Amino acid sequence: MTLEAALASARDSRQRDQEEFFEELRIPSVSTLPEHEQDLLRNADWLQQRFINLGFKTRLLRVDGGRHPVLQADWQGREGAPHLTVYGHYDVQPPDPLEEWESPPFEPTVRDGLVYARGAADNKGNHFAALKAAQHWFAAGGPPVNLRYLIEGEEEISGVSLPRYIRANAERLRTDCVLVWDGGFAADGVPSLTSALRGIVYTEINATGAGTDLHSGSFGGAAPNPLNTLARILGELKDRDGHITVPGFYDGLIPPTEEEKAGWPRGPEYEATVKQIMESDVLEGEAGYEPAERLGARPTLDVNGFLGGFTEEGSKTVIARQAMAKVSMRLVPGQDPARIFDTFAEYVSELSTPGVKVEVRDLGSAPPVVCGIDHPAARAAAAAFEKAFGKRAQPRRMGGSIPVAIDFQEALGAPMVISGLGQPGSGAHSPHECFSLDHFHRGIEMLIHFMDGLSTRGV
Amino acid sequence: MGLAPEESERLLFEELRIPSISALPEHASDVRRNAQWLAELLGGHGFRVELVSNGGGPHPVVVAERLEAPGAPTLTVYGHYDVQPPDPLEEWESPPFEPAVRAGVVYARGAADSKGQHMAWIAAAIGERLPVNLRFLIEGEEESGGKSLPVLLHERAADLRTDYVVVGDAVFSPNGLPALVTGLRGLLYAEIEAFGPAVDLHSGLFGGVAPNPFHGLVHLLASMKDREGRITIDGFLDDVAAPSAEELRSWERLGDADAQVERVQGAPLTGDPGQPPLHRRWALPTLDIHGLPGGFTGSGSKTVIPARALAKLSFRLAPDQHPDRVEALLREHVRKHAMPGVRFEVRTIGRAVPVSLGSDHPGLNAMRRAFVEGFGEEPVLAREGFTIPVTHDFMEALGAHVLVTGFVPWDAAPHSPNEHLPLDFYHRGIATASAFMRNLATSAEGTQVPPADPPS
Repeated sequence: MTLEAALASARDSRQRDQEEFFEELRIPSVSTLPEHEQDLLRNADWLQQRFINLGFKTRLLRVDGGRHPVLQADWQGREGAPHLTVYGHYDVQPPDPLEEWESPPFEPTVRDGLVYARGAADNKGNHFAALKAAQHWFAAGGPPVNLRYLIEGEEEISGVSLPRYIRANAERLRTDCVLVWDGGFAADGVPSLTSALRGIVYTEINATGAGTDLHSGSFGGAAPNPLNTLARILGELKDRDGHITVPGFYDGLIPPTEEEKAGWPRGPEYEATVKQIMESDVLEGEAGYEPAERLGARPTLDVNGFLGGFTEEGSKTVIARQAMAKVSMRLVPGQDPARIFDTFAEYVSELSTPGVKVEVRDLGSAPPVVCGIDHPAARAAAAAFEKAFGKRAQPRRMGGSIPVAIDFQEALGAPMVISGLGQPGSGAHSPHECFSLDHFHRGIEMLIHFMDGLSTRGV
Repeated sequence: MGLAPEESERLLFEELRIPSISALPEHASDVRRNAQWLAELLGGHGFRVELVSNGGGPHPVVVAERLEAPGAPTLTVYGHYDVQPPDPLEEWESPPFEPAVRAGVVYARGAADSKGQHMAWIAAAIGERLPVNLRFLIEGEEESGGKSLPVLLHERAADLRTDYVVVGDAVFSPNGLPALVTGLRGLLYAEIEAFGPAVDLHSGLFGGVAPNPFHGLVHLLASMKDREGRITIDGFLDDVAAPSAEELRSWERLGDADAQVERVQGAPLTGDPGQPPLHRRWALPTLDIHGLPGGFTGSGSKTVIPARALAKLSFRLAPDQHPDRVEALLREHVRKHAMPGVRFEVRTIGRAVPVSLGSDHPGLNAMRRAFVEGFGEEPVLAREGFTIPVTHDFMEALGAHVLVTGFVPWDAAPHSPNEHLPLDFYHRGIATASAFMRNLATSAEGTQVPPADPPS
């Protein structure tokens, strides 16, 4: 069991590891679409088989109220050594809009050292590299730490399976460190370590006007139009300066410390990079806050989708009876999703206009998480990144939410490391999602170092 | 004098048996057959008939003229011989193309819209010698949006010169009074597309700095109309002409039209509370959003910031607004209210000028008196909130006075199952058409046309 042997095994197996990675990318494990249910199962089986081959004890967990199983894989062969839990998810976002993909989303295609496929960065590249790290340790005599992988299939749909399982089995799942392996790099070549994660409240607003669709010539002027109403409501949720107008929305919010802020990237070069990644000429946002703060430490409100009325080519002068909007809010430490949802729902109803009934539904939420980076496991991760990538990891707050992080934190109480391998511009959720193959291979080495670091430095 | 009632009904029923559905290609030969049937009928009564196909659409216009009254005014009667598809078939109580009379009402597709209308004019014209020059323009593409008639009007405007046009496609008021339409709203239909980032983005990773095109769009839309429905675009209302005193007096006769509308739309009346609902539907402009596609619209959640979002919207325009000026105001408003980071593109995809049909030419008086003779009621001056595009074509191409009216009750279910027409309306319609043509000739000779008596 030597670190050098594990690293050598990784270096010798690059081609094979990559081909195997592409196999997983070919599985269209879109968790939100019912027609892909079998693909989710296939993906879980595919991963399970690989862990079995390595000698892990595995289980596919079906949890009441859930849709897709959680894969649990355990190896307890290093008595007395620290125990590491690795979290990832095998489900992916829907690939639409399909016409914007340059190559099919479930046919991994390499261009300029990047593999393009839905799920490449979010999250198959991450968890598969973690599986490979264990495999190369086995080739070198076995991992230096005890390992548990929890890979779920409901991350993109805010499913209940893993959270319920963790909370119901907190004692049996005790661990020394949780690696929440669903993040990415902070900048080109610069790894990140997350100190806090935003939470989320995802809502759907349904507006209903008349009893039937109406002709706008005959009834326009006197008929309630739910599209007009929804546009009004959405237009009032945020002012022109980007401040969210939901009453009490910012109450209790914990601002970042001066020390945290000092470490954040800023300046024209950083802004240019963010613009380039987003393929946007401008940065939008709340007046009075720097981009890095807006990205990770300020709450947001975004309209994610709108449906209703006539949407084909050409014109139809209809006053639709119904319209729907999807609106989500990213939350930061100090904000409580349940309270935010209630205030939001009430505020939206107040903003409605005469004759239109508005109904707000909660489609899923996750509280924000603070995990800190001043603990041995985080330092082990930082050291491992430095060895594999030659760069110090940058502390940051993360804009996305990883709902299960709060469950890990509250139920297991173990130190948490939140990071990942995706390069900036990996386009998670976008039509050109891609993953750097260099990051994939060096990421495997980073994880090998990380496991070594945990065993030698302790947690 | 005139056709025997049995004969005028026989003719109507004969036409109602032809399933002239212009929207369905499998009925093309029926539509053609209907045109020929009209041509033979009118040709047999001294009309010079032509079926005009000019490439504007698939179905011919029946042009039939009897211009044998030198010095007398020329009247053109417009109608359409095509009908809507009859589905849902199972909701008809008798077959849609087998006219069935129950309690004095004939049920058939096209009975009200609009075979019963133009047949009343034809029955009047073939039943007696009337002292006007008369032309029928009966098209077969009204229900399917063809352009044969507008093309004909513009290509042959000189041959089609006329003093008056009757667009006989309108209906009675909801409280049972005949209606003479004095105004139609116009339209500007536009698309506003908002562009944010070049690709869809993850709202967790980029929310807070990514320009979300939806926000730009909803801000813009919210800035165009206030909570209560008043349009707030600068200068938008400047050209809106108030209804005339005569119209306002006439509208008082309509009774509680609001309750009727409320019942049909299944929701309370909305809009500017400072304006009566009738004004909001007839005489004031509107802004309605028709569609707002964009982003993730499936069930469940996807945390995406979309690259683009689109709004389809239209303004109904009141006389004397003009779609060109409204378009300019809209573009200016978009320019002024655009949020930084979101680029907007405004595209116009439909326009119609609002129509004022005037209230002071001899034809109107002739029609008022004719309704008193035929139905025993002075017509109300009504407006419609929608456009009848052909009305504007007649005014523009022929420069004639256009009268928009009809002999059909308000709730005759055009476009719906069990479309019907009370035969009493049909026969009174024939009498009204006949009286109108005689009145027109008298008023043209300079005879003082006395104002019609108000109904007792």
